[in-house]
Order: sequence, then structure tokens, then C-alpha cells
Amino acid sequence: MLFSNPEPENTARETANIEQCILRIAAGDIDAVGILYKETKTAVYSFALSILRNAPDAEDVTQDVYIRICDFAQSYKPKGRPLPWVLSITRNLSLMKLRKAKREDTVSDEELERVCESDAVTQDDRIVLTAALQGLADEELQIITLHAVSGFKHREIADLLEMPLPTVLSKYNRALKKLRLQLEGGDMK
Amino acid sequence: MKYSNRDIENMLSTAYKNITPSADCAAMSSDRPANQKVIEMSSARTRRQGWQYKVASLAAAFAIVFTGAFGYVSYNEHNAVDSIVDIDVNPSVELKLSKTDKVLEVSAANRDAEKVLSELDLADAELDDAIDMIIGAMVEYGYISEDANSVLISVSNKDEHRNEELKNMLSTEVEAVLRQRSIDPAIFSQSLRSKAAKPIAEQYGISIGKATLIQNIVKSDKSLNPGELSQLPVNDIILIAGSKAQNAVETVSGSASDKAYIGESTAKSIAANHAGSQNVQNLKVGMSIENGTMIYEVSFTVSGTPFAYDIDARTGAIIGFTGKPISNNQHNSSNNDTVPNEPEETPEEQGPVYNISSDDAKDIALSSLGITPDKAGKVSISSKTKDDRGYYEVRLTVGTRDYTYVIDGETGKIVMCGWQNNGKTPEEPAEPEEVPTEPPVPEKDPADKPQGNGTVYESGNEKTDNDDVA
Repeated sequence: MLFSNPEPENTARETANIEQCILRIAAGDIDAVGILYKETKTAVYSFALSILRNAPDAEDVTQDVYIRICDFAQSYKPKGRPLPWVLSITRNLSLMKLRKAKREDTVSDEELERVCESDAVTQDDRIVLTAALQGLADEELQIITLHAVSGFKHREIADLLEMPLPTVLSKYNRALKKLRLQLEGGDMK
Repeated sequence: MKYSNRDIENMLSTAYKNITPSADCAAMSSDRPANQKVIEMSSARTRRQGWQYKVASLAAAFAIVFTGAFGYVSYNEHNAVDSIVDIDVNPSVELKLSKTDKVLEVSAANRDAEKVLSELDLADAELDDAIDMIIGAMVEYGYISEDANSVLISVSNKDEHRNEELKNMLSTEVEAVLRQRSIDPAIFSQSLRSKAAKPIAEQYGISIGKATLIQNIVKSDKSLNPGELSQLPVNDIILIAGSKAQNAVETVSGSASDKAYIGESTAKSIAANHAGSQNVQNLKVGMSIENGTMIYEVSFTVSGTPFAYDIDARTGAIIGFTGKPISNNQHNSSNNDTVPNEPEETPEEQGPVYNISSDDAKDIALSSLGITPDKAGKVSISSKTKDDRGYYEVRLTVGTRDYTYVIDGETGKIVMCGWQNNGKTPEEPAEPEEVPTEPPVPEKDPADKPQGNGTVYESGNEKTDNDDVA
């Protein structure tokens, strides 16, 4: 909608663009990778970060995602749902990376600084990222990231994360409550 | 400061955008060797001069200009009630929507809906998310299932075009949620143009949508009691309307499930066998409600003599009938509406009573497994007697399992079922093979021993999982 800012990446026009890019990559047009990256980078990076909670690892996975897309673009079947396909690759690569590395369940302050090191990050960004990365459980963070950034519906999230829909709904609600509590002040439990 | 769900998500989305590394687009070209990284992430993620920041600021400036100019219109579009939607299953939920499909208010029209909504936080939700959550919760609580798959969507907006848009959008969303749960949905919709049904809604404590449906049905069949109908789930109301050839509401997709009931064919057989004749004419069968119980109403004539039966739709028990049953069964297959062959007949006062045929028994077993006859291998049926009661033993093979059903010949109830692996190698299917659903059986009798690899259950009480769900 025009009056809400920012919009999730997954509008109909963007979906069509993303799918076109994948089909072009499948046809050998590597230049389409750059366009695809622009259209999907936040969705991919944010989802990888929500799983890995580590900026360098999330960057590595993000790069690997586009390499993987180049390798497997021909296996993509155009059904008007390219972003779930891209994020499914993101999830698989992130989980592989997670299995290799030993991670703490929450993000340390030092790691948070690394995540927020860009000059474009505002104080509000810092506050909400701290609340999310340090305060939410794994699935809560992944679910709310997919919903907020990629505009996925709950049933699409349930498909991607291989979870029952009611579980997604209850974790989503819990994540929002925790974030609201933190943003409006008070202890997060 | 208070934050809405939307505010929180927008903040998170913005934050993620701002921390996402930019890319060196010049590094992406088809000349690069395949083993090089496709995207060079910028190591110093300073982006004040980067293209991404410039684009983001431009977009922000654009949004501010529009928001400022159209602030008043924006407020009205977001906060004034534009449409009202009723979602009726048996829980009845009312949603008030803004012009931009934002959910402004959600309320429960009955106790079941209160239970469903109590677990959900729908404040500020997008409409499709709210529908996901509401329908998902109804499935979770058992209000929507394979046995009761109907959802009624009623919309009220002054603009009929908008009504159609909303009905289509909501139907699509509901269908998607249910298909994800492997439920074949039956979706019905209507536009609410007047408040004529409001007195019925208030009298019986139901939604306007459900009241409108009931009002339409009762108009065409005054024998139906709106009070009794108001207690039924939408699925049963639609079954009753459908059996009376009423198009009380628009069908968007699917058909109301009657899997919780014995079926018209079995009801016909029970009635005809009780009447003592297979040669029935002018056969009519339909569903209705009697003292809160769903029934099949079966009527026919035998050589000009009229018969009418009310049969319990769940158990097959004959609740009432008119007409004097003929004492000897007549096997004459040359007339219309003949019922399948009976086992060797016995006079009513001697031996067991069979109200269903052997073919009916086979159908009951197949239906219990959720498969069509072509999916079953070898089938054998034999009639047995125990304690002056007649039964059918149905043996059939499905894939690698041999099933045995024992079915009461009078009521059609499954009194026992079991299976064992037959050691066969399954044939390679051309397409994914359907897995038969396990038969819905009564409580297990602890005294029973399992036969083969399967589980054997004795007949218990009639309570099923859905009995507690309205």
C-alpha cells in the first residue's frame, strides 16, 4: 500500500521481476544475478541472519545462495512463487553452516555491534535489532523476519519452516509481544 | 509510546534493510570464472554515498510527500469501517474492515468463536493473515475437518463490486489454508444486502450471515425450524438445504461433507429392507433435523403402498416409520430402484434382521478406509450370525495389508476391524499412491489381543472425536 513505508519486498510486480531473473539465469544470463540480488538481498540476508545470528556467516551464506541459484536455476519451476524457492535455498545453506559452527543461542553485544556497524543504521534500528536478535528464540526470530521483511503469509512460513500453521501463529504472536514489551520498556521474559 | 504490530514489523524491516550489505555490481559479469563469487560483498558497509542509501532516501521522500498531501484521506481509509465480514463454520466470527482491508475489529458471535479468538492476537492484522489465523485455529480445535468441511463467507458492503472482490479474496485464502491442512474445502458465500435476518440472528444468538442462510432455507421449506437449524454447524445446514434441492447460498467450491453420516444409499437400503421389499418406487431421500438429531428422511411406495422412514444419520437406527412392513422379502430385480441383493432371507420373526445388503457392507468398509473400489484388491463378503444377530464379515486387500471388517447387518455399524501385513511387495505406482485412512473405530477394549500386525477393536459406545464440537 502506498501509505505504508517500508513495504515488504514481495509485491506482485517484484515477484514477477524475481521470477524473470531466475528464468534468465537459467538461460545463462549471469547479468540477471545482479538484478536478482537487488530485489532479494534483504530477504535473503535477514533470513540467514535470523538463523545464524552471526553477520559474517550470514554474509557468506548470502553469497552462497546466489551461487547456488546460478547452479540450480534450471530446476526452478515457474509457479509465481520465486521468493519461497530462494529462501528455501537460504534456509538449507544456513542450516548447513549452523551445523558446522558452534553457536550461542543469543547474540553477544560484540556480535550485535558487528551486525549494526553500517553508518546507515539508526538508533531505532539498533533498538529493534537488539530486541530481536537478543530477545527472541530461534523460530520466533525466523518467523517474524519472514513475515516482516519478505511479507510471507503465515501458511507460507509454515511451508518453508516445515512447521504446523498453529505453531507458526503462536510463535509469531509471542515474538510480537516480546518485541513490543522491549520497545515500550520493561523486562523481556 | 505504544507500538502497533505494523509499527514493530516496519521497524524490523527497515533495520534489516539498513544492515544488509550492498554489492559490487560491476563484479557480476558473465566473463567471470564459474568458481568466483558471484557477488562481492562490500567489506566496509558504509553506505552514505552508496546507491542503496540514495535510493532509500528518495523512496522515503516520495512517501512523505504523498502522506502529507493525502493525510486526511489516509486516516479515513485506514480507520473507518467499510465492510463487515462473517465467517461461519459453527464458530461464527465477525470482522470489521477498513477500506484498505485492515482488520479494525473482530468479535465472536457465539461461545465457540470466543474459544477460537481467545488464543489469537488479531490487532492490526492484515486481512489475509487474520483469515489464516482464524481458519487455522478452527481446524486445530476440530471445528473444520474432512467430516465437516464447510465455511460460509458473508460480506456486507454498499458496493456490490467490492462485495464480489472480498468474497473472491476470502474464498481463495480460506481454500489455501484448508488445502494446506489436507482438507478438501466446501466454501459458500453470500452478499448481505439487507438486515432482514437480524431478528433471527438476535433471537438465536447467531451471526447475520448464518441467520440469512437459515432464513433462505426456511422460506422454501416451512417444515424446518429455524431454532433447530441455528444449533447446527454450517456443514449440516448446507447438507439439509442441498438435499431439498435448495440453492440457499452460492457455492464457491467443493461440496459439504457427509462423511460423518451413513450416506443416502445406506439409508435407502435400511428403509427398504425394513419395509420388506426391494421393489420400491417413487423413492425420495433427503436430510433433515429431528429433535436436534440429523436424520435421513426416506419415502417410497411398494405396489402403491406408501412408506416413510426417519433414520438416524449417524447410527442408521430407524427413529420412526409409517407403513406396514411386508413380512416376506421379495427378490425381484426387474423393477426400478431395486436395492442390492440380500443374504438368504429369513422371516421377520425368525433369525437375524439384515437392514443392509452385502454390497452396502462392502461400501461401508471401503468408505471407512477412504478408498474407492478400484483401489481394493480381492474382496470377499460372508454373512454370519451370533446371538441371533446378523453380521457381514468383509475381507479385502489394500496394498500390503489384508483388512477384516465385521459390520452389523441391522445397523451398518462397524463392530470390529483389524488388519495384518500380507508380505506382498507393493506395486510401483504410476503416481503417488493414496494412503488409506485408518478406520474411525470406537474405544479399544483392553481385553482384545491384536491380530497380526494390526489392532483389533471391539464395539464400544458411539462417541466419536467430533461429538464435543458443535
